[in-house]
Amino acid sequence: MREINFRDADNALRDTVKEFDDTITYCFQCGTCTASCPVFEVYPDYNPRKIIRMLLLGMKEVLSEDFVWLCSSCYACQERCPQGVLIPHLMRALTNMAFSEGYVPRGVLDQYQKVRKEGVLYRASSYDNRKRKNLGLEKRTEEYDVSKIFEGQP
Amino acid sequence: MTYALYTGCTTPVVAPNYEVSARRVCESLDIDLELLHAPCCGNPIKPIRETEAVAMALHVLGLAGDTNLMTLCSACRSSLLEAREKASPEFLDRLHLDEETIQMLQINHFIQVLYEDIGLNRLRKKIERPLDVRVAVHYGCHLYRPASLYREDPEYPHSLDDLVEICGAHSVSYRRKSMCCGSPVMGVNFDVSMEMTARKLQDIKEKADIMIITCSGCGFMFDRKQKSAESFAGELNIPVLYYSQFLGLALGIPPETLGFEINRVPVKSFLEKVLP
Ligand code: SF4
Ligand code: SF4
Repeated sequence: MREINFRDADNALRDTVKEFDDTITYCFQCGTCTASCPVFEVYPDYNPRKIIRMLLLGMKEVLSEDFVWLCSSCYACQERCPQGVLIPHLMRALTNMAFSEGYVPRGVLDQYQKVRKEGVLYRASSYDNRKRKNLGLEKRTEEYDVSKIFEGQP
Repeated sequence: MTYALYTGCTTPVVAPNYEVSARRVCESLDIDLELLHAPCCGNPIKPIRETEAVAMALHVLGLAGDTNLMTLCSACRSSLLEAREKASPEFLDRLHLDEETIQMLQINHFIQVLYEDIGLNRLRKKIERPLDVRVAVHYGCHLYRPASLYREDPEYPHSLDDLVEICGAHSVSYRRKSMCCGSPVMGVNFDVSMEMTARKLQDIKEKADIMIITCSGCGFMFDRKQKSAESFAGELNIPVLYYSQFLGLALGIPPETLGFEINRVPVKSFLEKVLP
């Protein structure tokens, strides 16, 4: 069992999370979310109930854990949580914060950079467009300048 | 009935079979589609910066003008709906978008257009080729969750079961029916995502002849990655069809125009079974 040292608790972390979504304070640790979670089912290191507890205790080290990125946003937990905690939304807040602190898995960062640069995650290659042509579909060659969308963003 | 077709960026590349069959089905049901040229819905960047994802989704809505939107990918629709819910007037202003136009817009998924705009009764009358097979439907999370955004029961949705059964098929129940396909996890931990895909396919294997899906993200996992899932689940070989391909067959649309050559898991034996 790991020791929790409350002197290290980061109240600022807890407050930021609450600001983002105060439903977290209603969590009474029943574990329904974890029992409903398809990620937990195959990978028990990802445990939404525990992550919520860590956030409420201000355990800042949660930000650097790889497992926090595993929420698939499937909303199964949210539909069942007896306390109305918006769990996937909180997980997103958490990964957003982790990113601001410099933590991010390679694959997720690659996707982000691709979308910001090209405006799309998948861009049709000439091979894709040949396939589309054979199906009677038009070529997709659009390029999008999405930089304007991001201007003035916080 | 006219919709702007927002394909998102994944479907045209990963699932042109979905796109072509959905467009053929719409054509045969007199649903006019205008292709919307627009970038990604923002879904893939949510984990990093949600406000940017919201801005991208709102930008897409702005491009639609006042033509109602139809999506094929469920994740696209959820991004668009969520973004609209989150958009404050100031945020819309900063993106130079008109609040009223955005709020008036209908943002529908292909399945919802069939279920709500056309309706089961009208569809049933158009079935020319009943498909007597056992089908495992996978709704995909964002077709019905969170309940606050959709009109389905979050535990027991039934639109897709109904849509499959009017085609003459039997929709089977199976253990992990409501569970996620695993695709959002792929960029973080490939093995975890494959294991999620594999477990679902394993549940289906004994129960159904084919699997029916409604989202290109799910298709990427269940069809394109089924071979990789076999290293977790043993031999699977389960044909995976988009509902549009299935309905297309039932409506009597020529099978060679429904994009079956793109399906990764062979569909030949299924087609031989149902076609005269
Ligand atoms: S289901 Fe809700 S109340 Fe129960 S542990 Fe999870 S978040 Fe907390
Ligand atoms: S939304 Fe995230 S935490 Fe909740 S059940 Fe799905 S994967 Fe698990």
